[in-house]
Amino acid sequence: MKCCTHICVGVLCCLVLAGCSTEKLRIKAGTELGSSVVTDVIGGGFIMPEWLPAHNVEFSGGVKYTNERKTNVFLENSIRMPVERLKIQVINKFQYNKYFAWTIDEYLFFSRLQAVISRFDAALGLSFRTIVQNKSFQETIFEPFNVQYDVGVYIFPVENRVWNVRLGISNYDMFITERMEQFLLSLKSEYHVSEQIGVFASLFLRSAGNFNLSASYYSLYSHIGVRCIIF
Amino acid sequence: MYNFLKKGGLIIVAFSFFACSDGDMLGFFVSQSGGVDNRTEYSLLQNSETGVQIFTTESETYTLCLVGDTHIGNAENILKMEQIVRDSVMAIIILGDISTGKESDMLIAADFVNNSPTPVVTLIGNHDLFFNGWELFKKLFGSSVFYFEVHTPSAKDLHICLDSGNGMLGKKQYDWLQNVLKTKRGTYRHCVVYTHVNLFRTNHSQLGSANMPLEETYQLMHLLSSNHVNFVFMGHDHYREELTQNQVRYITLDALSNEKITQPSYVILSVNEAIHYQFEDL
Repeated sequence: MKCCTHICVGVLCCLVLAGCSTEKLRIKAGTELGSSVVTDVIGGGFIMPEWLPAHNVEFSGGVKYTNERKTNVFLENSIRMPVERLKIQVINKFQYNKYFAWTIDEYLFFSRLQAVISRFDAALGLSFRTIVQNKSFQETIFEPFNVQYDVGVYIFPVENRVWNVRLGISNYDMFITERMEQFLLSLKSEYHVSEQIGVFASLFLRSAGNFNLSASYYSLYSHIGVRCIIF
Repeated sequence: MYNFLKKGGLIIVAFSFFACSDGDMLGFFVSQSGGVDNRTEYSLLQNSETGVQIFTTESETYTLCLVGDTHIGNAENILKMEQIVRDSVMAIIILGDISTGKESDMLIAADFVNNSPTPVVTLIGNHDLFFNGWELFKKLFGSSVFYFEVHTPSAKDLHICLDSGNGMLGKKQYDWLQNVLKTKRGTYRHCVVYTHVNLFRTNHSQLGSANMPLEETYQLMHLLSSNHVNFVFMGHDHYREELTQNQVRYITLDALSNEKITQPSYVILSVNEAIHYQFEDL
């Protein structure tokens, strides 16, 4: 487990160094505040380096720690393929979540196709989850083929706006990858202070028991932070 | 592309609404049954008035019959099963989704429970909450969060029944469960937990059947394993599954209803110094 964390953190550091060397590095950092049925007050922070080695290729990663005694680490790569007006991306992600309080380790592989056009974006993919409790690797629980989705609409067309707001529905965010029915409603906004610096604020509402159950509130949390181009 | 995504999304939503037939559309957006915290509050108050149900046996071995989703509307399968197990089990435990949720079907289910010669213990399921079903459920079946004991000449076992009809336990129920396990578990030989919604999504037998949120699942797994719970029996998925995690056995039952997803079956649980279970096809 420690080995896995070290590898992920190591690769994140490599991303930063690679970004420095090729002058294509962005960093996103922020705080998470919220509340859930399981944890009354959630507080934590995250950092996400993004490296663009070529025009249509991006590598990114992220680490988040919250007072739920939970650490999330992910590595992601995306390849852009513009098709006429559509901007299509193929995104592959590996995520490792460690729940210290409950001695649970979770490994996820998540692959998705994302399309952006004008004011709309949508993503559809599959994730594969492995759950290990108390390092008991001979008894892992494997959850294959979870459908992941994300659909959003913006106030303005996505391109070159000083600010924009997106309303979305999905079953994942950068650090949480839920099962198909556990969706998140999100309101995300971003403001570009300058070419180098932007600020963002997002609000997420998570519910339980959607679709075939009786829906009820599960969690509300926010992300507030800064995105800046380092080099 | 946009049209494809739009149509695809609509198809997924439509399938999910009807993952189990007779769905409650309003329930998709908001819980009509006051939420799990309200049901827990009512149940704990009710439990304090009625006391703990105790089954006593002269034998060192006892058997229970566990039944997954019965979806009574047509009670044919459960009547057939009851006749088979009548003389050999101490009680029948229905793991939620007793009926389709419609009032007429709930009354048929209550008729079975009240007139069965074998005692019947009922858990609440998501279908039982449809159409504001909690109001009728509590009148017909009572508490949705409780435990019962089985006493043999030399031991006593703890059987805990949870309310996961909303796809979550909620804070009040979790706190209650934690307190029961921390204060009482040590005085019992075995501990078995029953819940309607299955914890893991290892198959896709039903699109849109839904599970509990991940953090709540993991929190519950930790609580169960750290308090040496022996077995967790679940329904909801209509698909048989047997998993072990950190010495806790997680068993999902087939449905007993005639929905042709799997062969209707039930489980015979035999308890003495060890616990054995066996699936029996109907």
